[in-house]
This record gives sequence, C-alpha cells and structure tokens, in this order.
Amino acid sequence: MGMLFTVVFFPLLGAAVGRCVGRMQPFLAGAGIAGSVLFLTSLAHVPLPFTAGAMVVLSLVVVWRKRKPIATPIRYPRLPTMIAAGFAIWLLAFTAIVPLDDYDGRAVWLFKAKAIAHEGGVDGPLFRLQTGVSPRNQYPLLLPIDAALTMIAGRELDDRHARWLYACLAIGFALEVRRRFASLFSPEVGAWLAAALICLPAILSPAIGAASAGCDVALGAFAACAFFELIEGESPLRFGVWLSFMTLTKREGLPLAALLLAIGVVAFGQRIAVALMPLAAALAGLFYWRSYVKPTDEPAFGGLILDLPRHGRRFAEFLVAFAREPLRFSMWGMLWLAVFVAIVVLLLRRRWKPVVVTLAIILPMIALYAAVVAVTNWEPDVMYGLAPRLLIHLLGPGLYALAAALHVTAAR
Amino acid sequence: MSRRRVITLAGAALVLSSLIAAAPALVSETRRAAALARMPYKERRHRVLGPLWDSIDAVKRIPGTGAIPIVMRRPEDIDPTLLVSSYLYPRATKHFWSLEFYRSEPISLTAPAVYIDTSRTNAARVMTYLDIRAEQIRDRPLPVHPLPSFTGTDFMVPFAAAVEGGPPDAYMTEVVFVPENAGSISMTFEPAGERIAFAARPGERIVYRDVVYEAYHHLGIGWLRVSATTPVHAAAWLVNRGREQRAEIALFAAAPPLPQRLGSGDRLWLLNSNGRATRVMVNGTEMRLPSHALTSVPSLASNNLDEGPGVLAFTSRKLPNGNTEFAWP
Repeated sequence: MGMLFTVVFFPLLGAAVGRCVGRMQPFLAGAGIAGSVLFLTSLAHVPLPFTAGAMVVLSLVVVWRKRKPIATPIRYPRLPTMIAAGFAIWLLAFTAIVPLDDYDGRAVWLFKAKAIAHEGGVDGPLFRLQTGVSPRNQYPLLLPIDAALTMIAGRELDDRHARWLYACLAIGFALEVRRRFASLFSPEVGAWLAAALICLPAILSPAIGAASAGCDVALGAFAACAFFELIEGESPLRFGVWLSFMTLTKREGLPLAALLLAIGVVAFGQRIAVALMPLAAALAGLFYWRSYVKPTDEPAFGGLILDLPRHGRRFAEFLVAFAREPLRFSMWGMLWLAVFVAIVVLLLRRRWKPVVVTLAIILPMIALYAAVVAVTNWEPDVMYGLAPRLLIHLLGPGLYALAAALHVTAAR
Repeated sequence: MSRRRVITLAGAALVLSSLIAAAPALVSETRRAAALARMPYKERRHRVLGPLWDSIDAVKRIPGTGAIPIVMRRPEDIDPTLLVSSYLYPRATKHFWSLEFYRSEPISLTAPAVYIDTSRTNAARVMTYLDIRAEQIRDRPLPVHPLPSFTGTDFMVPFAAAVEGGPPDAYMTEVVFVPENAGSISMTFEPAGERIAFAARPGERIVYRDVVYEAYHHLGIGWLRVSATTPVHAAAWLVNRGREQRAEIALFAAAPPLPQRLGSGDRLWLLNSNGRATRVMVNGTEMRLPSHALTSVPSLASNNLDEGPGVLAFTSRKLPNGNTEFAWP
C-alpha cells in the first residue's frame, strides 16, 4: 500500500507544483514539497494526515483547473531510453522484493520516519529524547517525513512501505537529467547521460544508492535540479524551491545550497530575492526546530572547523584520499574520468561558463568535505565511505560538464 | 562522423563502462532477488538481515511497557544496538555502553535486558544482569597458575565473594584445585551451608573463576569449607575484575590457636568454623558468632582475638589501586 501511495501521491503533488511555478520533475518536486510543507506545518503541530490530505485536495484542484505548461514533445533515441527504462524497472522490482539492509537507512533515517509516523510530527517524544535513543537527532527530516507518509498509508511502521520512495527519486533524477539536457543541448545527450546516470553502480548500490534508504540520491537530485535552474536562469523561484529542499534533506545540503546561492546571486542578479523566499522559510523552520531539539551523537562540525589550521597535514591527506574516489571503477565506471576529460575539452575550446560553474560547485565542496573530516578524529579510510556519497551530491554539475563537452565536440 | 553518432558512441561507452563495473553486483543481486521473490516477506528478511533480525521477536516478548535496556559488550557494538532500537520502535529503549554502566543504574539483577556482543554473535540476546556477568567472566582468559603450595584434604577458603561494588569495582573469588589422586571433592558455601561435590582426577586443574556464582548461582559473601577424599593442592584469590587486580587468600586447615594478633585494616573479619554458636572476645568486646558465620566489624590499629576457639580472624584493606590487602594471623 505504501509503495502504491508513493507512485501516486508524490507525482500528483509535483504535477500541481509544476502547474504553479513552471515545469519541475513531478516526483522530485512532489517528494520535496511534501517533506518541506509537512515539516513546517508539523512545527505548528498540524497533524500530518490532515496536511497531507489537504495537499492532495489542493493538488487535485490545481491539476484540474490549471493547464499543463506547453512543452514541445521531444523524440528521444530508443536505445538509451530502453536502457534507462530497463534499469528503472530493475530498481523498482529489486526494491519491491529485497528487504532494506543498508545500515544508515535502517538505524537512522527510517528510525526517524517510524517516529514521525507514530508520534505524528517532528518534535514528538523521540526527538525530545523522552523515550530513549534518537540517533543524529538534529538531522534534517524531509525524506523521513516522506517515508513516514508511506508508513501511515501502509498502516504499519515497516520500512518496506518506503522502498519505492528512494528508487523513484533516482528514476526522477534520471528523467530530470534527460529532459534538461534535451532542452539545454540535445535529446541524444539527455537520453544517453540519463542512461549513464541510472546504471551507475553508486546509484544502484543497496548500501548508499537508490536501493538503500539514504538521502544522498535525493540530495544529488535536488542539487542537480537547482544547478540546472541556475544554468537556465529562468526561474529564481524554482531555484529557491530546490535549494530549500536541499537544506531540509541532509546536513551537507546547507553548504551546497549556500554555494549554489552564491553563484545564483551572480546568475540571477536582483531576482535572487525571489529565490530567498522559499529558502528563508525552510531555514527558519529548520533553525527553529533545532533550537529546541537537542543534538545527540552528531559531530559538531561547525565548532571543529575553526581548528582547521592545526590540521593542515590531515586536510592534505584527505584531499588525496578523496581524489582517488572518482577513479574507483567499481563505483563509477568511467563517469568521473569522463567528466575530467570533458573539463579539459571545454577549457581547450574556451567554453568558460560550464567549466567555471561546474568547478565552482565541485571543488569547494570537495575541500569542505576534506576539511570537515580532517578536523575530526576519523581515519583517512573513512573517505572510502564518505566520498561516494559526496560525489552523488555532485553528479548534476559533473554530468552538465560532460553534456556540454559532448555537445561542443559533436557540433564541431 | 555525424553529430548523433559521436554522442551515441560516447554515451554508449559511458553506459558500457558502468555496466561492466556494475555487472558482478548486478548479477548477484538479481539472483538474490529472484531467489527471494518466491518467499514470504518474513522469510526474505530472515535471509537478508540474518540473526539480528531473527532475534528481535524474542526481544519483543520482554514484558512491560518501560524502556528496554540494551547493554553493549563494548562501545563498538553500538551499530547493531541502534538497529535493535529501530526495530523495536515504538517500544522505547535505553542504551548502556557496557555492563558497568548498566549496573550503575538502580536495576534488578534478574530483570531481562538485551545484550549485544558482536564478538560472540550478531544477535540480540535476552539475558539478565547475572547471565551477562557470568558470560563476561567466562570469556576472560583462563589464568595460568603455578602448582599451589597449600595441600590438604579438609580446609577453609576463609573469604569467598561474588559482589559488585561501585563501578568499576567488581569482586569475585577465584579458586584452583589440583588433586593428587582420583577421588571427589565437596565444597560448602558457608554460612548458607550450600554444598556441591565433583569428581577429582589426578593432576587435573579445576579452576573456578567466580566460585560463588559458578558453583551456587547467586551473588554473596561467605567462606568455603572444602573436603576431599585425596590430598588437594589449592589456592584462592580475591579478584577485582573491574580493575584487573587480585589478592591471594590464605587457606587454613583449621582456625589458628588463640590468641590471634592482627595489624590494622578497614574491616576485621571473624569466621566461626564451628558448627555451633561461639562466644568471642575481640578487642576487649564480647561478641556471639552464629554457627559457621562470617561477619565483619570496623578494624582498629591493632586487633586482638582472645577468646573463641575455632574462630579465625583476619583484616582486609582496600588499596588505592582497587586491590585488597589481607592480613592473616
């Protein structure tokens, strides 16, 4: 029941949002808007089922009354489309059959989802540490709220109901890449890079990818959407909406959103004020919630990072450890190597914009990650687990550089 | 080469590289999914999640509505501990980083708790405090003792304890017997009079690491009366396992003759080896000791036992390192 709910509820909401603010990938927009709105209304103690029900009614009204944005039909090449469809079907079948067994998903994210579903909100007894243990108590809750909805729909606190949520986020990510690159470059580029994305071992991974219950694919998808809005430069509102989803998805979402926002200031000029509205609402909600929900076992990176000057050597070690990860064939195939080649090609062709915007996102985030890990007492091999997650977050900019290089090479 | 072909070749190369990278996992995961698809979901979870998941049903049967204590063997066991908390939700849980943390709470020693020790099994086991304590003691490395110098057929181990002090202090009495010939040994925990007997094989080292709990299945303080059908080499130690300290306990074939003179200590212990109540004169004060009693009074700078045949007096002092210093007559 929860799985069926997943494929109906979130796309419906996303379609309605798209009718209001312009085209957005329905599943990603639906998952983002549901988690964000329910987070904010839950702070006012509005019952989750009530808000979710109201959102369904409102979405039906919007979809009924507002016309679909006019979009020219795109003819995608068959082969990559079939490959991507095959992997999407595999992902849905796999997650429907095989029980969840990734550690973080079970011990952290869906533990929170169960608490939200059972306690009816984001500040119930578990989050107030009144009923025992709450790991990573201050982690953002967008996806746990979405997962909680699937459990409420399934009428039991069982992680099986949330399995398609994560699979569909990856599929939505691939569909978004396909559509955006078709619009920015060509349908061939879009279709092939969407296929390349969805068959990446990191995306298919039951440990960190779409077959897990982690938030990295979602953050990667939201970040990619924000990045694509930045490139298109049409809608600061949609840009701000994606940024707000990022901040409510994972802790890393906040610095990544800040980075995108900084570039957005240049790209959108004064119009960036529009983007700040949804972002400000999300941040206000997040910081208000954190003001009374106490941290538990999450490292206080904010304070530790000031120690960075004393950890220069470790910082360098982690940068080196991180640099090896994109070349790990078993996780990425040739993708990141191709991104590197693409950047070189773009530099040789003097296509500065894609190079600058891509590197302006990727390099600071890698440096930030290495810095954050350097100031902790973690060992360099921790990067083996962390680096793939960060690279998932950065897939949007990486794929964009690749698409731009493919486009200029083929157009020659 | 046409524009479309360049993109197709590049895209296909990328997809192919991902497919080659993903193929081993993809094949094994697909096989796994195909095998699981025919099973009910509960059976799939059993196959995928293993013993930790299987053990949750037993944990869910712990009666009551309060928080279930989850005791870790060591802090590294936190990962399965969090999983158990997640599986048990909405039942509340409370985590304890070790048995010492658990016993620092006002707990019942016989109440069920969940014990996670991944060095033994990746499952959650429902155990009492006493079960966990006994298992941890069994897991300690077996001590290597030289052949004890004391030999006898009837003798006393004047102090036998299985008690938990304020953390980290935790006491147990370790005894070792090495029979010279085949026969039997009986061991009585006094003053309760609880007796066990066991076979003795020549030269076999019989080691009780926590003699009171292992032999009599409860905690407590007393002394041991040992009778054997063959001469037995024996030794005993009071072990503070929380601080890895041990103090040898002297063994006695009989209570030493009166008067007994002892130096200072924290406590003065009086052991009545007689099978009847006995009147004693200790430090100028008259006391009556019940049959087979072991009792203690505050120690003076010097202690004198002047009356009370069959009574053994000794003192004990707790040292700063957590060890115990005994003074024997």
